[in-house]
Amino acid sequence: MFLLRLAARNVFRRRGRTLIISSILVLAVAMFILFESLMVGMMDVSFRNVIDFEIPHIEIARKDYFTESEKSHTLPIGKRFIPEDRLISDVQKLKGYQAMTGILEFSADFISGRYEFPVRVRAVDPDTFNDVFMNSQYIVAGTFLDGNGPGVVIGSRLAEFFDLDVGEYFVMRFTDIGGSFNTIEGEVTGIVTTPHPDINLTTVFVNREHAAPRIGVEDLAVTQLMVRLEDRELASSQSNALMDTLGGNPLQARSYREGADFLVSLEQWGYLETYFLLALFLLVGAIGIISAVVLSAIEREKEIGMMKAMGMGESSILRLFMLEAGGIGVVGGALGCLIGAVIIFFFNTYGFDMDIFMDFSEIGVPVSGRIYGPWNFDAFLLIFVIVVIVSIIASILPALWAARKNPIDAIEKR
Amino acid sequence: MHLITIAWRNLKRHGLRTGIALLAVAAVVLIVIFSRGFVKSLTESSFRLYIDNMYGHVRITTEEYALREMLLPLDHMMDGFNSAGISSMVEELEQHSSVRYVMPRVRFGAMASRDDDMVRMMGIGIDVQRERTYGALAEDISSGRMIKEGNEILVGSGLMEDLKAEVGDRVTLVFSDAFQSLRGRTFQIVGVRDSGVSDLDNVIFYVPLDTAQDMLWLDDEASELLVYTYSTDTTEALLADMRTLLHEQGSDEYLAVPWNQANPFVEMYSEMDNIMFAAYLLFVVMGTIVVVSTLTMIVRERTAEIGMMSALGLSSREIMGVFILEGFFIGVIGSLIGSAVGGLLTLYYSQAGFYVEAFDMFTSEADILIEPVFYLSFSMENLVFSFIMGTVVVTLASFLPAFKAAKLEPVDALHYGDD
Repeated sequence: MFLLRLAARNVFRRRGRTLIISSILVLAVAMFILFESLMVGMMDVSFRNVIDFEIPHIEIARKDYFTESEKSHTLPIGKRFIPEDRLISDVQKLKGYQAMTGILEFSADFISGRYEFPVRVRAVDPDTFNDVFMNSQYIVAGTFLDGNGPGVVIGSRLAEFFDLDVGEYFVMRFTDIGGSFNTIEGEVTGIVTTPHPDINLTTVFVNREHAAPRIGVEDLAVTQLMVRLEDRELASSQSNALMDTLGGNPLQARSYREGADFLVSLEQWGYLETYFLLALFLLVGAIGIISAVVLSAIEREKEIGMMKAMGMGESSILRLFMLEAGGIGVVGGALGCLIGAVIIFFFNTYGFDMDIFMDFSEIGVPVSGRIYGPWNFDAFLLIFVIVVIVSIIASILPALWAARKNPIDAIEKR
Repeated sequence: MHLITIAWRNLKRHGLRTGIALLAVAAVVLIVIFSRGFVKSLTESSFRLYIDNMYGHVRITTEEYALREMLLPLDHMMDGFNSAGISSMVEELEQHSSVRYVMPRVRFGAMASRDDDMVRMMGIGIDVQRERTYGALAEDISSGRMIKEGNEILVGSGLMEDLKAEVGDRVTLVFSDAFQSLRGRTFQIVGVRDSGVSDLDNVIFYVPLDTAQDMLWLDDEASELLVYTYSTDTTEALLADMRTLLHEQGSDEYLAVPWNQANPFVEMYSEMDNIMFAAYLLFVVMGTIVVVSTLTMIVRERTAEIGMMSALGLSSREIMGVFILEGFFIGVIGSLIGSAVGGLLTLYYSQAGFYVEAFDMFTSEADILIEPVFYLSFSMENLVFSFIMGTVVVTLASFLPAFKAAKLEPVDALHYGDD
């Protein structure tokens, strides 16, 4: 306790130096908090876009559908299934269950005028589809599908490429399950602009009732059963729970995260970058701490000699210096958290326009427009603890050096 | 001169203290060199891929083609100046002194069926003679040989796996010609290209230009001209030349776009160095904080001495000079150490490279041309830049404690040691 008081007094004795050295730590802490929030904010938007427009919380399909659609260029329409009543009731019993819809997905070439472009066609039942996905709320021209008829809804980027408007004609060419080329023709009934850029270019929506017979599949067949839950946090546990009840079934349930490899790897890379930067910041911070300890040891040589002569052990002096360094760490960490909190406050309230950096959609990240940094108190706690620990560890060597000085030399000097 | 001697002697008084200040400067200079070397190599290797494979230094297409490029349209071909054919246009462009060579290319979509699966790919018709002489293609051939003529194709390594084919095999490809009719043709695979970049290796195959023109029912036409100059730095001059030429020839429907504006990713990364400058500065400032606190302490410690000096007639400017010199020495020596270590480090990793799995996963999924292994770029420019940055910032920062020292009143200063 005495040591603690002594250390506290020493930290405040050289207020200027404490502030200067801790400002390195402040920078480190504030930068980390900002980066972390930026990262989490971006990933949050990305995953939300995936869930709302591409793969909802849980996706159920045949195991071989998942494996083949990953390694092949063409979606394996042959790997379809007809959902049994038992499966449907199992899904409905999931915790936080909200809605479910069946989707028949296949690859096709979208043709209009003299152009063609490979697309992913989603044959959907509009009623249930709209309970699970948000696409219909982002119609910018025309209407969403109405349940029957040969019309399609396309994304705005595709429409732009083809110079297509609502009411204009298209042809989609695909291979049916018999292996021969077949087509679906009709009018564009609607154009969507979703916040998920991929959907705006490569995905075409068509009524399942209309598409199924043309591909040659059974009326009720689907390739995926998409399930929406109340909360993202439930996705993983509920998809596992569903896997258990499926048992030996050839079907597999997976959460949105398992379906979004790209985002998961992007997230990992982002964290790696953030922590690498943090390590560099802390390295400089550690040098700062070492310098602070050495400076104050040189300055207080006499004092230390005196304390030693009066019977204070080397270990006490060691601890004294480590406590002082910890004190600088606490000051730096606290100030950094404070500044970080101010930054996050603005970031959280006003958001940050990602478009000033680059168009992320061009490299396939489903982010566009403004992102908002969330409050993540764990990050604050984590960085505070790290800074204090790093400060204390950095001080060990110089503190040892200071504690080992000969008391006689120390007092005798000058 | 004596000021330098005093400053130098003062620094040696407390070896450890000076050493730590040096360490701080060296560390931040090292960090700057490392980061710059990293960013530079990342952008340079990525830019080279884009220049070699996609955009040349300047790419000329028709306006419509640029707009609908993703659809690989065959409608918006270039047929040369006044429709005199693309080959004469290529020759005309190559007359220009700023042009080193020009590569005409035709891009088109094609498919092949393998088992139950349709494999989609992009074909590129290339001028074999030119690509063989200048291009980057020939270097990447991992097995087999470069295509020569007729129905020979060079296939990306990833695409090769999808096709389940081997060198020497024949494959039948299906494609739409310029009249929108579906056609097929059988090719022989004579070589495999392995560039290490999944976006290139997984979808692209190469075919001789005249074969492409023939099979697609094109005349002497190309979808794009990649124009190369002698160095990336002279892209601007080349661009200006090309634009003037296009205008003179009355070919205003042709669009000349430099590589660094052709793609938003490249655009952002070519601005990267400027964006990062703030980050580098931040690091150097952090290191400088250590120097400032050391100098501040030195000033305090030598208050009595400063008083003595000014009592003996040393002007406050000279006193300031002593401390600034001390800061300058720390800056120079620290930066020198940092640059030396940084130089060795970047030199080593410019050869060895290191591999980060998370980055590989990210780049293979993203639509970016980038190599999954990191190299650090070694350059004198980087070392000199970082050295100067370290020295200048540290010297500037030492003005603060130096100013404090110069402001001390001699009498107060002499009494300082008493309490």
